Amino acid sequence: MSFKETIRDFLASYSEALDATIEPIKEGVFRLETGDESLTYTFDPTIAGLEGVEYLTFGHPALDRMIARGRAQGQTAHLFLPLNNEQMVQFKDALNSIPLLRYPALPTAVRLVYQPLVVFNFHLALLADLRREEVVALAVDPETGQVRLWQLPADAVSFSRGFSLQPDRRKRPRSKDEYITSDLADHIQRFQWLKETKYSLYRLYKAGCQFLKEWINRRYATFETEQVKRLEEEKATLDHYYQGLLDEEMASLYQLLHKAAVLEVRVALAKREETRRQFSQELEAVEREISAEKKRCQRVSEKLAAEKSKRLHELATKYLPKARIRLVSAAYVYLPRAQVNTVYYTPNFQGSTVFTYDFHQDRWLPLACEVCGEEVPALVIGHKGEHLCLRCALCCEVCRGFFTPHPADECSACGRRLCPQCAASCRVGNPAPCGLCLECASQICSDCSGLTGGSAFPGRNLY
Amino acid sequence: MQTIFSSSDAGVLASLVWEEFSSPAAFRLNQKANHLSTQAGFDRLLALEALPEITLYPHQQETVLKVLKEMCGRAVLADEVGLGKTIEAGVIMKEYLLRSLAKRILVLVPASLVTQWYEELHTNLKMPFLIQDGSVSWKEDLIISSLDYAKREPHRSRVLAQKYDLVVVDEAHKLKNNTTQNWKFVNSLQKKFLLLLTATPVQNDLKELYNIITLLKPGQLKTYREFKREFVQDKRTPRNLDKLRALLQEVMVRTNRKETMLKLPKRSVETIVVDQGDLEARFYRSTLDCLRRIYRRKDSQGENVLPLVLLAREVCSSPQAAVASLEKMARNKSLTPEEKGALKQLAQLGRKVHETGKIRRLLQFVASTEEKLIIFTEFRQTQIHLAKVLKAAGYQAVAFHGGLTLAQKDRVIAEFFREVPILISTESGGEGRNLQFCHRLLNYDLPWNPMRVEQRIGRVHRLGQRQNVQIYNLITKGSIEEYVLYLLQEKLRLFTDVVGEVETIISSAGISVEKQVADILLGTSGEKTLGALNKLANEVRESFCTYSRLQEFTDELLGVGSL
Repeated sequence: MSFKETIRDFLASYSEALDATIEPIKEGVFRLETGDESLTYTFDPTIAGLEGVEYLTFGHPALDRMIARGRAQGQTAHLFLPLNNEQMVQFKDALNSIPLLRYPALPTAVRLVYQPLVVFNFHLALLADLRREEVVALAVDPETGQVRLWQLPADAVSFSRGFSLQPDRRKRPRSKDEYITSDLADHIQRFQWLKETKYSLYRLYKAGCQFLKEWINRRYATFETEQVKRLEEEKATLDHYYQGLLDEEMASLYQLLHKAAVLEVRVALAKREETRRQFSQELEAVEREISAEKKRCQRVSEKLAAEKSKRLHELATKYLPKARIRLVSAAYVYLPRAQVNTVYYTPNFQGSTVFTYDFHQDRWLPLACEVCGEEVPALVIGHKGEHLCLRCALCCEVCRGFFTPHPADECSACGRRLCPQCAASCRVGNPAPCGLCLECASQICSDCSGLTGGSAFPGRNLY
Repeated sequence: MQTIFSSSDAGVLASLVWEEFSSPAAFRLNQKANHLSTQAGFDRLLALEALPEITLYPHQQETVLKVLKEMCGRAVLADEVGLGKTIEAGVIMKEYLLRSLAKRILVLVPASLVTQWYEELHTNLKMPFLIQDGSVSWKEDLIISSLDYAKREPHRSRVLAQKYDLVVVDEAHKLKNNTTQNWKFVNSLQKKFLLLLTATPVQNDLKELYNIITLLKPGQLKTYREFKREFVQDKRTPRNLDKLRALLQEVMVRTNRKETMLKLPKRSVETIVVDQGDLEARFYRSTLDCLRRIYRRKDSQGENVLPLVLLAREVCSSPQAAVASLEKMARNKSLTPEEKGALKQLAQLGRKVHETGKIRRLLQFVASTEEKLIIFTEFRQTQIHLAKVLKAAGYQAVAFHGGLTLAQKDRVIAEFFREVPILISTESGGEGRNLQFCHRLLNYDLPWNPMRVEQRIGRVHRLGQRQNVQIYNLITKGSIEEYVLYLLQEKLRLFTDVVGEVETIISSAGISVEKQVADILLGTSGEKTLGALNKLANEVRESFCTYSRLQEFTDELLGVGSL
């Protein structure tokens, strides 16, 4: 969306939410009227300036005012996403493609449910020498606590309110409790009132903050590294500069110290008393100079250190990136979903399972494999009715049913893959299956051959 | 990365708990408003979108982006004169403000440019700066102050206690010496971003350049001893030029006129000589004779002669401008009774002069053309009189002067742009105004200061002017204005040549032209006057040449135009 379109879209929302009217005056010129404000504007700079027509763009005081007013509106909402005809048609089509692989499946019952979500819109300002800002929208699932980035669809409508059956134990936050903190635990600690009032919301908010913090660290890791590198470079330049200045200031002291050292040696080596006295006097004079010079260097050093500290502080303020997070709005949102009871037929048995369809995403929700836990778009049904992904399921080459692989699930005679149901005992007939397929079961397996002393089946593992 | 959370979240959460739900429309508005407020990215200059009437030239846009993106807001803007350093700095300020990267900005400029900056920032860049004239708290967010004012106690300690996001220093060559109060003061300011504006970062010694860069970014050129060892052959000759250039280009941006290929339209000048009427001539000569007498006496006694100089300029402008000052001066205690008496008589005589040669010629001139015209005069009284006369003759004219509020100034300029053909302007208050839609100006009186000439012409002869600029000088025959014109046009060619920032050039040469012109015109006569004017003109021209050489040296140092 271009910048003009973004503003146009914003103005449309502005007029809708605040009962303002926007009407075209003439080609490219519009008038916005609210109860207390009237603005004639255009998006065409060539028209602007004539007859009080203002060019409306970023930085225009009127737009800034409207943005500020917009930000003060609608911080919380209770919404649900309604269904429309198109979505129903899509759903009917989707019923023909239930995400169950291999076996025939028939939907037998459909139930409309609303999935609750809590949506948090965080304003994120990344502060360094450049400033980046964005609004990060998170949806937290109250059931699972799962957090994800999510944009609220535009067609959300208001939900009737006041249906909560919870006792009214609501508390207000303390109004004087103003702070900013960089410690998430400390931040969350201050939401005791919320914890006591509505623990579920407290838990979801905490999960949202935690997710956002980690997301920022991942997303802006490169930026942070670059900034830190720049800061280090600038610091190194400053270090070198101030060290150089200090060295230059100290040069005279070094000279004096050197002179004193030479004089000390001369005093020690002097052969005549008179010469020794002369050198001693010179040494005393130099030491006095050294003392004064030391004091001067001390003062200079302190001054330079203070100046350097100021410069370093300026640099740190400028370069070290900080992410300032502020919750700007939040909503309870209910998403319509269809739970479809489905009957399926495997070669061995008939079963049923429930699939969930998301109307807004026009897709079946992924289901988790019961073996690996991965969410996959389509499943197969195992021989015990379990949900399996294709990576975790193997097809029995005897009955064509699916099963979870196991080291023993192979016919020890012919080597064919074998589901537990098709595994049989050899003709000796141990109570536990001998790991043979039904065809090979007329023979004696290697395990049982020892018991009978008979000849084993001439297979891989048979005698 | 340090993540900062805020207590303000509690408000939103409390509303959620208390089920204080808004409508979906309001919620959507909130989302869009928040989204819109985060639109950014330095690839696009928001300031330009916010200010459609401002068009940056490619070199200006390049400079702005470079300062923002590569130099991280610490830079020396060293463009050659007349290429728009002020607008570049203004757009950078606006950009930082729009992006909330800066909230508190301090602009430090020479006292004579405070109003000009104010006009530019307020009118063209729509930033509500306040002029620090003693009535404004230093805690205000956007302040323009003269450097000399800010650095003096008690202001100094107040300014140093503030934390600024951005500090802008114009004429930054005044910070060339690190032992001066100027340098120490700017160095002590607490600032995140710093912009230094100067066309001549080095004048006599490479150390000046070192000091300016060190102020901006300590350590960029290492310590002075190291800098000298590595880069200085002698005071004006650098060595390791490539390496030095590379270091300078990290913090300094310079464009010269050749590089930009920008060409301004031509200027042409026409002198209109008018004869005085008898009464007018008597008033003029008597007043000038009287002033010369008083001037010589006072000057020899070392007394203040500035009021006399002002009065002399008023006499040249119009009797109306002179009469009020004559009456006021007649009450001055430093004058002898005879002098007071003479001045009173002159005031009475001046009151009788209702029509002057200039007025007659002006009316003829205005009648001969329908194109827009700006009439410049130095004095408000003259302006009032001209407006009255033009109105009486049936011409529409608007007056622009320093006493108008900003809104009134805007209205006057808008009227002149739309319908009114004549604008009568005094110097004060309009330095930053763009009047490129008009290309003819008439100097009803001549300023004695070359800087003022350039400022007048600069209002119409600037980037954006599409037609040749026509300048008319209205001169009274036999008056001292002929000498002034001789100096400004014949000797300095100020009306036809583009010299640029005359004030910078002349002040850096340490010449007080206005005072010297006054000394010459009131203190000498005949051949002596011409001789003295020639001498002064030579001094000024020398300063122009020196300045030009400095520009070339700076270009060479920065490798500008060498590619």
